[in-house]
Amino acid sequence: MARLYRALGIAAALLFAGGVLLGFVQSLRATARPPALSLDPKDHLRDFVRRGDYERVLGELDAELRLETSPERRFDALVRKGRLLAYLGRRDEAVALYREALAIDPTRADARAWLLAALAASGRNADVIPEYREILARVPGDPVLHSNFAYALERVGDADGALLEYQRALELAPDLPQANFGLGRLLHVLGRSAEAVAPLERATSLRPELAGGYVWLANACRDAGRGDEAVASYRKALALEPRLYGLRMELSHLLIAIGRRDEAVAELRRALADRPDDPVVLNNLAWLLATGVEVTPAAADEAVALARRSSERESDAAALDTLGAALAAAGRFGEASRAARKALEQARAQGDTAVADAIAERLRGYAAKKRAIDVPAPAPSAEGRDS
Amino acid sequence: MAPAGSTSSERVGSRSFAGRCFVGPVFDYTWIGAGASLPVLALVLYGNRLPALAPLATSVGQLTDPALLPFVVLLLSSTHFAASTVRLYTKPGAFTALPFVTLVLPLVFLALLTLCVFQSGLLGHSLQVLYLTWSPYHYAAQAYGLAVMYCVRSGCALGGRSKNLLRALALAPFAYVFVHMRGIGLDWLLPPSWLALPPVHASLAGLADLLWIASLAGPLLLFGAFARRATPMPAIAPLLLVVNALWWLALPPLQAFVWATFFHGIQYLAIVVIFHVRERTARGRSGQSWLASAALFYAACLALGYALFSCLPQAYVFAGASTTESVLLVTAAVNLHHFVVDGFIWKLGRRDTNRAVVEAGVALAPAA
Repeated sequence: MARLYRALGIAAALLFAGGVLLGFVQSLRATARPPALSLDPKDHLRDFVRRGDYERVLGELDAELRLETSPERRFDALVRKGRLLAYLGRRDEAVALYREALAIDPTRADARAWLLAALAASGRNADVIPEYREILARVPGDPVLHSNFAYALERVGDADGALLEYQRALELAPDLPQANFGLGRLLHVLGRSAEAVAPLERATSLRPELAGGYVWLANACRDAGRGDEAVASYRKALALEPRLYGLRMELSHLLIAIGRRDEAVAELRRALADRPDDPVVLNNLAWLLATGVEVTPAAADEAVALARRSSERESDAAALDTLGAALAAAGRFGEASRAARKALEQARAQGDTAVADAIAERLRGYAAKKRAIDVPAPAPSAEGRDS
Repeated sequence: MAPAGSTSSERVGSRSFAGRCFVGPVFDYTWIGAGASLPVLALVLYGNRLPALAPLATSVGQLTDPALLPFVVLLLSSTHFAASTVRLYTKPGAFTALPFVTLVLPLVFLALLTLCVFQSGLLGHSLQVLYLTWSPYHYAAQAYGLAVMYCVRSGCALGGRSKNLLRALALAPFAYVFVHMRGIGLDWLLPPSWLALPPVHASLAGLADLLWIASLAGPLLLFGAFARRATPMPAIAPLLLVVNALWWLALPPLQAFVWATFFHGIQYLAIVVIFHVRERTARGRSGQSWLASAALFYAACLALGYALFSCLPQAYVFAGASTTESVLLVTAAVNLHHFVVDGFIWKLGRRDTNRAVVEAGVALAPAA
């Protein structure tokens, strides 16, 4: 027996020593470093995450879930695995794990927030609603939750519910930017632009660095008939994001609508500086220059040049109509009539009766050597050309 | 007549509540009695509520900072697990007295570990839970063992009933954890549906409350009961029990496992180094100073601790296991081996060298 014990002892010592040596070499081979000191599985995962070996990370998390006894650590592992799956786009699996974690501890708002994010990202907006109700039953005084719930209700088309939740959020936290912004935006979308202005003004005063707030405020002011305030807001947004091409076009339209044509011309020139070959900008600027109350010869020539460039790029009815107006402004009525006839053909071919009628009216004017100064601006071909 | 090497204030049978210490009252009470953990516990639990103490509490908390924690674990915890193995193989006569433990048990554990790593779903989980359930028992048993050791050393006679009562009070925190902590103990053994039954739940809650009180008040009452005796119970005995109770009762579960491990590790390392050095001195192995002897012992523990906890798991990774399984299950197996070995190497039998160290009170003399 003593000899057997001695043999077993030697075997154990050799196995142990071999295992230690093998482990040391394995670590050098895998990481170029000696074995790490940490006994926390999370620390060992970081190397795999850094290498982008996510399948390995998932395997390690599965192992942790097989072995962990502590509910807190199981919860933690479930949420970590859920977050990784969500990151990998496997959101349905992530949702299942978050639900499993919440079965361990339903009071944990962080896991519920991840669950909500995964549901929303999956487009499962209807599933989000009961989760929000659940979390708000536990945490009723959280204004951010109410605001997020409002947004979720918007996405499922419950505008009335969304309004109530935004208002609830603002009762709890009047200075919550996202709730002010959300309420204002929703009111504007519902056609209640006059009511939308106040919360949007509040949102922009709280978050003056965000261009989006000013855009919505501008739109609300515009639709509420507060043109000057809308212009100011558009300009603030453009000051923050000068390259918002579509915004500058909106501003130019508004300026034209409220009779501030010179400023509209200035905005279009700025747009053209950014996008010198954009047919919409070329077209709109040419039209403005050609249809001013007093058009200088220089302005008329510039309008012709711009209109030609536009029609070379987009030879549609609007571009040809603008070319006709520019030529008429320059006193070249014969050429203007030819351009207008082509525009009329195109408009009729497209079945655009309103545009065709307007072009026909101008064509008659050119024949009488009249400029198109009183003709409304052509239907902008800017829609669909914003990018 | 006082034994050689003991101070006059530490004579056996003297009416001193400090008792006979191994090194001195300050060292013994601070590190072996784990008195140092009391202010740390207070800081961990309450430090951030007092502005004046918040910086200190933050500094203490940084010991558990992810960047620092692995080093602290190696220096205090891993070494203490390795220390039982080093002690086993350096204890005089261990191979003769404990052939199975010294020669066969390691192979048994290696085989068990290997099986559990590659069958982690069933066996691995059970190994993990067994280790976590046994752990508070081991800590309680260590507190009891040290308390008895100091009583013996201080001449405080513990009769059968007193000893049983002391043991029961020492194990009360373990019982509390067993019935109260989720994921281990009763929560592991019984179906959740049983535990959720209102009468069962209420009974267990009441039992936990009783155990809470017994863990903290019991040792103090027992100490009071012995206070009038000719040779009272040394104060370090109830200190050991109360401190262990506070680790498990006052801290949240995950923090308990961290801080209890630190101070239990320091406690263990202190006592095992004392025993190792004193045995060597008693055997006339005084070629080295006590400091060198202690340093060599600790160095061996450090090396073995690193080998066990950091290198060995990587061997299983090489064999195809996940890092998580390897690290967690090696940790569990090493812990369980430590628990088993400890049950053998600290016996105070009449002919055991441990007894001689406890009773002789040989001072840590410089090398001749």
